[in-house]
Amino acid sequence: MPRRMLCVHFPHLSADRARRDDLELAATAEQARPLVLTRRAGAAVIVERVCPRAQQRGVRSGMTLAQAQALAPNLCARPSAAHRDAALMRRLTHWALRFSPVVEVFTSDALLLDITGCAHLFGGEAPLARQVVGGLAQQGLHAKAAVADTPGAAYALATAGTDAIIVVPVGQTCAYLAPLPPSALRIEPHAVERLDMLGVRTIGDLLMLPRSTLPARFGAQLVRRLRQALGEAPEPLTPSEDEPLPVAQTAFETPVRDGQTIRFVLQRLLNDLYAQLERRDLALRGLQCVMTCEDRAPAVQTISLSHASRSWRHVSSLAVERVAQLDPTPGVCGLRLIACETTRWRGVQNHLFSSASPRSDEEIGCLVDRLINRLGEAAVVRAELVDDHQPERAFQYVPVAQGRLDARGAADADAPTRRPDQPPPGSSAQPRPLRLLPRPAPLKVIALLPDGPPTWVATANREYPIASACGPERIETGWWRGPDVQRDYFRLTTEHGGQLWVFRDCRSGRWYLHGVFG
Amino acid sequence: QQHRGGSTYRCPSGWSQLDAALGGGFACGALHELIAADPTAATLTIALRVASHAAQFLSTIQCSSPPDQQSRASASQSMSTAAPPLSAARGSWLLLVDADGDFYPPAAARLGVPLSRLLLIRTGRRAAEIQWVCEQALRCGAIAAVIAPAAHLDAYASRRLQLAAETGGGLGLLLRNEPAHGHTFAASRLRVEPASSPGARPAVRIVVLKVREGRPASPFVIDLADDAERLRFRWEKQQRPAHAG
Repeated sequence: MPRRMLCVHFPHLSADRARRDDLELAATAEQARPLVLTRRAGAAVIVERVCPRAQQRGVRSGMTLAQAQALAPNLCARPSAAHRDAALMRRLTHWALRFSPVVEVFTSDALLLDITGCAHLFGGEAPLARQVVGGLAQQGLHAKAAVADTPGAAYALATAGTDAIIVVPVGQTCAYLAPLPPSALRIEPHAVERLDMLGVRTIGDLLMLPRSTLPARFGAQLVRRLRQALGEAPEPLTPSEDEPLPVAQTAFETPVRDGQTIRFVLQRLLNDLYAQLERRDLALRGLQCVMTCEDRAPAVQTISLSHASRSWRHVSSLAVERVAQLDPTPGVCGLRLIACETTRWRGVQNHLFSSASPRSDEEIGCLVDRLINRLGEAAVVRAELVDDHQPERAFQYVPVAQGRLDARGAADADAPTRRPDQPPPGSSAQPRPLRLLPRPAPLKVIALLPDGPPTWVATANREYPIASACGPERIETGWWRGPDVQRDYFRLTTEHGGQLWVFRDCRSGRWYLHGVFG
Repeated sequence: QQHRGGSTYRCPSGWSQLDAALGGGFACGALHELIAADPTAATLTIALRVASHAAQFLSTIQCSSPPDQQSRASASQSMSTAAPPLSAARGSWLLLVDADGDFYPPAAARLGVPLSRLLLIRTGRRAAEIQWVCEQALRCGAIAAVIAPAAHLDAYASRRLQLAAETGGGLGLLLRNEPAHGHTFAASRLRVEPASSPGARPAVRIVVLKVREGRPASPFVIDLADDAERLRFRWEKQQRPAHAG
């Protein structure tokens, strides 16, 4: 089966990556602005990469920024970051795994996929190439793709070919390569210059030269690349492997029962894990601690953080507290820490004098983590109003661990100045007590009229003479909801001044205390 | 508006008499005790009202730099024309410890408490846990106010919480039942009793037992319903331009 290679070339990788990363530039209004990436050379700022719009205006790499701004006044300039581009390429190899199991970062701006035998799954080579290019376009990356027999040919066509998608039929590599310039073969610049001086402008011309004279005049690499492109010499691929999760583990020679030793070893493993995360530019969201004991199944504790965090002190304090809850008495044989959930770390530089509060988000996230760590997820909740007439069902508790702690978004929803036209759900015109008993307490009542407000109520331990009453407020729920309620609520003011919320169940005629306005 | 009484910022409670008795309002970065003379005394209403004010105002002023370093000249400036802040602004989260499990959120929403920024901690009645939660929350800069029941709080514990409040810069509001004796390190101590007022409006009588940097006033009565009406009126007033337009 002939081998088929798909090469994807990103002509504007740096500019596209800068557009994606920078939220300002990603806004639709800013898409039309030309973008250049710059680097510092001494005191001057030199343009390194340009985006297509800037290229149209005449900006070229090597100009100073001032020159570029003279050509295109509304230019955006960002510092170039080669490591970010490399990280993007690594992520794209993971993305491209859906098309082929063998993906390699061929050069700093091209990916190579081995699609031997994969094409029929996508309906053919041309549809596959179109899907690749389309998927990348959705992510905001300009790409060109070419399918050929050899990696060299595919790269040459993707880089120097005119069309966005080129598919070379089997065996016709020579014909397709002929019109391309020799620089597309990845040869050294001095060889390219010499070929140009000699008037060898295309690969077709190069192929007409006698092969045996080429090494002496232009170097052995030229011939090797030529042979690789034509398929006469092999070019092996080194597929990039999926990076495993950061793990730090240790095994003890004899079972350990001492808590202090375990804490010491745990701290060392944590430091090792943090070093791995920092090397890979990751932030931690979930950590798993597995303690293997002899004669017992391994004990696992999972810590999930509300905020992707790189503050190692905070994570260490949470981890130490959790591991302390595991029982080491049977004897611990090994300890293993797995960073099960990680996210890309985007370090944000705070302005020294700004009043924006990204730190406040982090602080509240750390506090919530500490509270959940000690009290459990069900103990740290937020209340949400529910549209229901029955008072005890007019709200629900949502564990904070499930939602996101968004400082800004949440504030806008509830600020009194931005309340929508209708009153918020669950609120009513009548006042409600701040303390609602989980279960209404039965009352002994003296009332003038059987349906009317009482003048004296008594709970199990206290009596309250009543000065005045507001009501009744009839609360009924529909019969279709299951056990329904029919209650007449009264707001009673006692002679001392306190206020109670009592109701009379219309079915049974009994009186209950439901809440206290306190 | 903010008053600069002495050397700390003070948060208004919404009742002018109470603010005057406390020397301008509830001092930020400090602990305050509200003692309920009766189970029906409205300490939680007062605490929630103060906390919701704190959440609004503390997020707009800077508190991390000690106010002593700032000049007295800026005392008369209103907050909207303040100089650029020297450090990141305080967050505006509230934390309430619900030990008995009888907190009713819809009533709090009516009082104007932003529920999406209220963290509810449902612990049991164990004093050690409540104290730990309060200390962690008060130390966190993002929390504007902490409301917690403090049934078994001794002087040592109140000292720790006061120090935590000074570190974090928020308000600590502790609710206790009578009898409360012994020395406390809180910045102020108020005794709240239910009071009868004409027209069945909820009212309380407040006795200021201890206040730092203020004049202990004679007991006074405040009308609790007042602020709710005013809040609702303000909300309605803001809606009217939208309708007219």
